[in-house]
Parts: sequence; structure tokens; C-alpha cells
Amino acid sequence: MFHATLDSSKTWKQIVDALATLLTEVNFVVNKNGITLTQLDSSKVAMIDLTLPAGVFQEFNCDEEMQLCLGVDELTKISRRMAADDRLEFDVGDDKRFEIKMIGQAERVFRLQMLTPPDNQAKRPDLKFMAKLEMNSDALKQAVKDIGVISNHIKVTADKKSVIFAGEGDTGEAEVQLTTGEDSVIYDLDSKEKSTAMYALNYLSEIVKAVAADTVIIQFSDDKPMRLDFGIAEAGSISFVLAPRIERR
Amino acid sequence: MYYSDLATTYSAVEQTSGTLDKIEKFSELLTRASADDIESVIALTMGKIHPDWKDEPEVGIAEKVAVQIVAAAAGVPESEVTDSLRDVGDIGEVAEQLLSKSAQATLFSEDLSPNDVYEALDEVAHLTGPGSAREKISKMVGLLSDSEPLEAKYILRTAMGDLRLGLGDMTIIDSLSVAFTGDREARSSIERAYNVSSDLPWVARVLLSNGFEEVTSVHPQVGRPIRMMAAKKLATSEEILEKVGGQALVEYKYDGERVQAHKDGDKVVLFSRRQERITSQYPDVVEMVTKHLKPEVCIVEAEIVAIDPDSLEMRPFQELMRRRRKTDISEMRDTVPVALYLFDILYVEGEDVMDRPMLERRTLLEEAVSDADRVRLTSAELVNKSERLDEVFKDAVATGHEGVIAKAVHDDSVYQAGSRSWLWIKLKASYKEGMADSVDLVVVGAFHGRGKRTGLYGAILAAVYDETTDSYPTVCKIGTGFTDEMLVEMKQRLDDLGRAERHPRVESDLDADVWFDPELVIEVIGDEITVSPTHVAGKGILHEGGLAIRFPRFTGRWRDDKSPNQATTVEDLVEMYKNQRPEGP
Repeated sequence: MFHATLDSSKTWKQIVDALATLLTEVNFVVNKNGITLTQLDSSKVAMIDLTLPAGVFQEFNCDEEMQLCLGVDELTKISRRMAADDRLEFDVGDDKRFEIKMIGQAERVFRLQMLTPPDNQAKRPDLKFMAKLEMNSDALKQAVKDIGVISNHIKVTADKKSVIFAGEGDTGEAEVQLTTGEDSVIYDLDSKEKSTAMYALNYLSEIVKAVAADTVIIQFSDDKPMRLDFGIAEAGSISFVLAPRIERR
Repeated sequence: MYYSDLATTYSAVEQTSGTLDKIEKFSELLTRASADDIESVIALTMGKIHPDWKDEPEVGIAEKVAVQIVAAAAGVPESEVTDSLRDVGDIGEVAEQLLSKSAQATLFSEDLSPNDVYEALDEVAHLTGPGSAREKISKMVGLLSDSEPLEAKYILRTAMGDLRLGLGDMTIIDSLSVAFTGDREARSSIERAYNVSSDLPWVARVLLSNGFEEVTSVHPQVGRPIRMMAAKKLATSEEILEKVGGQALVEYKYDGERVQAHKDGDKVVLFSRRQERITSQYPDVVEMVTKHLKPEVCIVEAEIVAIDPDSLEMRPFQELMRRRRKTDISEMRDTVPVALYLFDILYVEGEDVMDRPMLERRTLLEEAVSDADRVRLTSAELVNKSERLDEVFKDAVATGHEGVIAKAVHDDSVYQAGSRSWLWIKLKASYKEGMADSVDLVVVGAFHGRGKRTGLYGAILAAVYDETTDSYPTVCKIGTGFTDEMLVEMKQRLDDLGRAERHPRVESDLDADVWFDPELVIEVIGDEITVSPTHVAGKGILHEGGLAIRFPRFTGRWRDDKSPNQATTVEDLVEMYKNQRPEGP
């Protein structure tokens, strides 16, 4: 049995939108501590890792660990039906259906059939990063859009003092340079040596759309995956890991 | 075994042109396969994840989608893929080239095995419903991102259903024989096992894990189609009787659709000549089989014939095909009712009877069928004089039948699954004019019409099937025999098959205005078969040139019941050419 309530439908929408960037099916693991999700997208190029501690919710009860496997398409359609001031209630009872109740001027209930969960849980790749930075998330979104004008991939370079986003395509080149210092959109930068890696923009632009927090932490190494961490639903956190695009010679 | 082993062998096979060299290279790979992966290896090489009769979805990645997949896997814009596709002409090769410059990495990459590739493609094939198009692309991107450039080339080609190695089913069988018995002597037993089971990956596994003995004793199974035996053709009754050994069971050739019915209690499955399940198209036939076949378990063959609802007289094949294309079966069942004419029994109450002589099988069939108005055995007569054969033929034609089939009745007159055999010989009405045989040809290209035919095709380019190279070499350009309606229908039927470039498996020295996927099969008659500098069928087998059909005309019969690889083969054509007698004075 599972029961939880959430005062803000906006928070729920953010969660669903973040998952919809990469997944067509979501597989939540629910236990007394809260809700988690660790999933690869079907191309195995990117991964989402979501943690929603019980404290995110106003009420939260779960007597035994369970997996909630649901279609993202349905979740998105339902979250679009939520009014801004609706209160939400989530329940899984004995009928094994996922029930979403929206309580506002009317009381509306959606019951979703659950899908069969995958056989094995995705494991997290073992990663060490050479560069770590914390920056303003709007600045990141703008940089991704800027590079997208010219290129379909983005090259990220970090050294002690600056971060450069760059790209090139048939029509030319683009570059966004951000330096640390007072009033900078880079809040923190830790990169002892120069690190460079390239990532596909079609994945990255989907991922940055999901960022609803003000700041985001980016970590990466030379030609290795990039990890993005940001807060979601106040006490919750989400991270995306994206595999690089490799140039072969 | 790794998929890279497979890809390396494919590459070597693709680069050699001789069939024997191809067999040598592919069989060497097969010796390295294990019981766990041989089925995937054979299925991937055949370019079919499941045999047709299993009614499973195909991977069916279209070229447009393949472009998106390659773009994402190589991390380049789609325009770059489209551009190099225009230069290179093959998306597999484009993938190989682009991926060797740059590639999207995955978070967990692994060395692919043939089973990994098989399972991933099977998963892609089974994705349906909302979001499945995106999911298919995503899965394929993951697969290509995990693969080396050379692997990507063949994975993509397999996903598109065309490996283009020139390794046909028969060449794969030869390779299995060489790999597991040392030479090609065993090929006929392996072929027989394939013909009986219609599942070559399965035969390969039996061969590898249970040995050659087990393959020689493969029996039919209800629910698994047996590849149908086919008849040869001859022009005169004298030749026919001589060929079958003096005596023949002469049956009317009904103008209908051949069916293989599998009965297990009240469960009935109907297979077409193409091994498609046609059970749902013929609920009335299912009923007839349940009601009028006495054995609990059996496999029989019959001709489904359209009849007039009032007079119960036979109606032409086209009527039946009209019904086949309709989706509203229950209505068609009343407007185009059918009768069932049974002519063979292959399996009865757990016993394989394919190796019994023809007359014994006929007796078993008589015992198995309780006659009804619309369910009966084919009309048949034991004949040993050519005059009588001619009379039966005349009667058959006069009563609206296509002609007759004379079947050998000697001790060795077994059911030869999957082969066109001299045990059954056709004498058909149409042979009285022009060429001795009609042929079933595959439409591979067309030329724009002029004048009255503007907007339609003025002529079509037709091909036979080459079993050894798994390709379609052209044999003639057909411009006559079409009514206006046929030309309109031809255009409609070819609309979905059109393509800008020649299909890679089509061989032609002519440059058609439009090219097609080799799919549509039509019946054609001509005056004779000649050596031709223009057409490429059988090139090199007989003379300098290929073989061509002179003055070909379309008979009006669309052979929807035949798949392109069941069309007339190069081998058939060569034999017809050799049997052709010089024209009289």
C-alpha cells in the first residue's frame, strides 16, 4: 500500500517533464524513505537518477518497497489536466493501479494501469570527474541555444578560470565564454587541468529543458560522460549523465 | 562468438563473387558457432528475424528512418547523412564511413554477440503503439553506438531486411553442409529438413547440437508449414508420360489458390503458397476442414476455388484474389463463396506420409475426406496412353479448368517438399499458343507511357529469380497484353514499391524510368526464349549473353499468391531454353 499527498501540482509537473525528456516508461522504486528512479534511456546514451525523499510530500506512507512502472505519455497527458492550485493525492491499493487524485474545485481521479517493470535495475556508471562547476541554469540554457544555432554538438572546455561552450557546423562556428569572478554566472569552478569533451546537442538541449532550479552543477572529464545535478521539488534532487560524442581519427 | 566475427565474414563474402568462395568463407564462420548462437547467426544472415509463417512483425526500418538513426549514432546532422547517401548509394556503407569518423558513445558499452544483435532487432520489431517510432530510433541508435563501424554497416542492412551478400537460402544450406559434414554431399538432406520445417535457423541448430542423423529424420509438425512441392511443365502428353514412367494420375488443374491446411482437433491453420497464414481470410474453409476431414490431426493440400453462389460453378482465380484483398471477409464469404478441392495428404494422425507413393497418399486422402457439395477430392484418373491424357486435358479445359497435372505413381512418387519436381508435370491450356510455358516474373522497373498511355507505364521491366545469388536479373520488357484497366491497376499496385534507384538485388543493363522493390509477381507468356545482349538472366551459363523472352505479353494474372522468390528461376529458364525445340517449317 502506498499513499502520498503533494500540495503543489507545479512540482509534480516539473518531475514528469524532467522524466519525459528521455524516457517513454518510468520505473519508480517506492519505499518508506521516498521515491527513487534510476534509468537509462533506450539508446543507453543518457541516464536519469531521481531522488524524492519522503519529506518532499506532505503525507507519505509506504509499508513495503514496490516498483511503479508507468507510461510517460499517460503521465504527461494527466499532468496537463492539473490546475495550478490543485492538491494531489497518490495511492496504490490492492487493485495494483496507480491513482492520481486532483483536488480543487472538483475532485478528479485518474487510475492508471501499471506496466511490468524491467527485469533488472540500471546500475550507475562508475565515474570520476576532472572538472566541476556550479553555474546559473539560465546561462547554461542560453549557451546551449547559442551553440545550437550553428552546430548539432557542443564542445565543453573548462580550465582554472573559465568555461567555454563551442560548436561548429557547415555554416560556421559559435563560442560562448564564461569567466569566473564577481557577478559571474559561474558560481564555482574546480578544474585543476584543462578538460574538454563533446556532447550531442539533441540530448543536451532536452536535458537542460528539465532544469527548473536556479543553479546547476556540471561535472565532466576529457572525452568522458558529463553529469548534471540540480534540485527538484525543494528537497529532491535529480541528475542526468550523458555519454560523450567521440571523434575517431 | 562476437558479432564482429560475423561482420568480418560478411565483408569477405560480399567482396568475393564466386558462389563456391562465398560458401567456403561462410562455412568457416559456421564452424566457430555454438548451439547457443547458431540460430541468431542464420536468422541474421537470412535477413529475417522470424520465418514468415510465424506471423511476427519484421524490423522494417525505412531508409528515411535509417538516416535519422545514423545521424544520431554518428553525431552528425541528418543533411550530412543524406548527402553521403546520395554519393554512396547504400545506407549501410554510409553508416560505416560516418561512424569511423565520429560516434556517440554509450554509458555501458559491450562487445556485441550475434544474440545481442538478434534480440535488439527483435525488440525493435515488436515495439508498437504511441511513441514507438521514437523508441525504435533510440534503440537502434544504442545498438549502432555500441558497434564498430563495420558491424554498424551490416546491422543497419539487416534491420532494413537486405544484407546484400548474395547468400541465398540455398547457399546458406550449402555452407551448413560444408561446415558440419565436411562437404556438400549432405546438402540435400539439410534442404529436405528445411523444406519440411520451413525454419532454417532451427535446422542449423539441430545439425550442430544433435548431428546430421537427426537432420535426416526431421518430420512435419502441425502448425509449421511444409514448403510446397511444385510441378514442372511440358508441352505434350507424350513427353509427360515418358517422363513420369508410362503411367500417371492425371488431375484437373483448378484455377484457384493453393492452400496447405493443418488440422489439430478443432484448431485449423491455413498456409498460402507464400507460407503466410491465411486462416482469417477463409473462415469458410476452416469450417470445411473441421467438418469434413475425419482425422483428428492431419496436414492436407487443396485448391480453394471461387464458385458462383447459385449455380456452384467455378469462377476465375481473379475473383478469389479480389476476395483475398478485401477486409470485410464475412460479406465476401457470401458474394464469393468457395469450394475446396483436396489433392494430397502429408501427415495423418501422427504419421509422416510424405514418402508414401502418390496412389497410397490418394487412398489415405479418400479415407480422410467425407465428401460434401463444396468439399471433395480433385477429379483424377489413372492414365497410361497419351491419347487419353489429351482427352482428359480437353475435358478439363472445356469445363473451365486451367489444364491438367500428371503425377507419377511409381514407387518413388513421394511428396518432394520445396522442390519443382519431374514427379508432377503440368500441361496447361495456354501452352497451345506461343511459348510452351508461361512464366511468373517479378516487376522490377517501368518506362513512362506516351500518347494514350501518358501518366501510366508504357512498358514494364520484368525479372526472374536467381537462387544462387539471391537476386533478380531482367528477362524482358513487356509492353503488350495490357488492357487500359490493367495498366491503371499496374500503376496502383506499383505506387508503393517505387524507388529512385535500381534496387540493389535487381540486375539490369537497361535503364528504367522508374525502379521498384522486387515484390509484384505477374504471369507472362512469350513466343520463345532467346539469347540476348540486353537482358542478364543466366548470363554466362549458356552463351555470351543472357536469356530473354521474345514477344512477352501479360496474361492478366496477378500472382499475389506468389512471393518474388517463388517466381520463375534462372534455372527454370535455362531448362525451358534447352527443352525448346526448333520451330517447325
